[in-house]
Amino acid sequence: MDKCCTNTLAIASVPCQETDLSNLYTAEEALCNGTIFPELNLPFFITETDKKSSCGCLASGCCRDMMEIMKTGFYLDDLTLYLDTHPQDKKALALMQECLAKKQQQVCDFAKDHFVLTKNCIPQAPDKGAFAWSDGPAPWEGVYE
Amino acid sequence: MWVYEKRLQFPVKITKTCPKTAKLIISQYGGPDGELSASMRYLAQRYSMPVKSVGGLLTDIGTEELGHMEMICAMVYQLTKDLPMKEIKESGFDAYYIDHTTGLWPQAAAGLPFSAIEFQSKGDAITDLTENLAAEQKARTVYDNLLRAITDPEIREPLKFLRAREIVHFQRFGEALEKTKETLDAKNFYYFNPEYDKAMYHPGR
Repeated sequence: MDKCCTNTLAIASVPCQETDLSNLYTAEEALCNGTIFPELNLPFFITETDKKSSCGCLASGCCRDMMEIMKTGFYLDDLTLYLDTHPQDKKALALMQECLAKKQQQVCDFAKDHFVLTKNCIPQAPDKGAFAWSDGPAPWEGVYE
Repeated sequence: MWVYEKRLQFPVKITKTCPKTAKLIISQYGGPDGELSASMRYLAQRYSMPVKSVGGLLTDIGTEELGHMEMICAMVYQLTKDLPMKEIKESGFDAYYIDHTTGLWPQAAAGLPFSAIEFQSKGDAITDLTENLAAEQKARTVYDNLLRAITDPEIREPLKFLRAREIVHFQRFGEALEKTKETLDAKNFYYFNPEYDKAMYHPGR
């Protein structure tokens, strides 16, 4: 962002995030912490004593391919919001392109190896004669094997 | 238009039912600061936003909140799956059970039904973005309160994730407010309403 209108009376001000994106979390750390930005990871003291290994995404015996999609998907989610307010950031834009390509490939492969996650991937489903959109467990069932 | 992806944003896998906890968490489905309220608030406000990129941000955060609603519903569902009558009665889940069995229905922890009265779309960019900053803080407080009350790590992990998102969203709404302010005269941000008094609004200047 060009400038921040701070120091004005009678209106809320939040400083704009300034980052060169050099210290971003890995995809796994990002999903576990709920952000790709270490400087925005501001935990609650009550959770300080939680076991680090208890991070649900790692401990739940999640299907590895699904986990990879969740990681890439979340990286994209957080990066998109950052770009919404920092559209001039070329480095972020390049990172987004990279993540998008990766995600597309992962979702495609998932349709071949497991089940269809998006309607776009129905052509990738192995059984061409079946209605693949209904394959796989419902997301709310908590089945990730 | 929305496109569905058949997965949650963050995994929810709760292996032990607990209707008492479900009664608390359901507030983030249909309560005053819940995820349904959040998505409806942002997706309602975006149409008349004077700064295009702020409308885009509202769309993206409103969409993510729909995903959070799905996570919360998955948690309530898994916490109340195949509950025997004895457990329903002993946990105090019986009042909810009478009206909804173990189906999902948007209500607050104390039983108040979901209501649009709990959020605002005011048709004034400064007002709406300030509402959104407060909304993210209120939701964070609810997650803080839930994390104090709930000890099961399988339930805590998704709650911690959702709490972290409130803080990121707050930051982005703050930046959206700054962007909106840049299009106005800092001598008096309240001289006119940029969503309504369009003849007075010259964002390019």
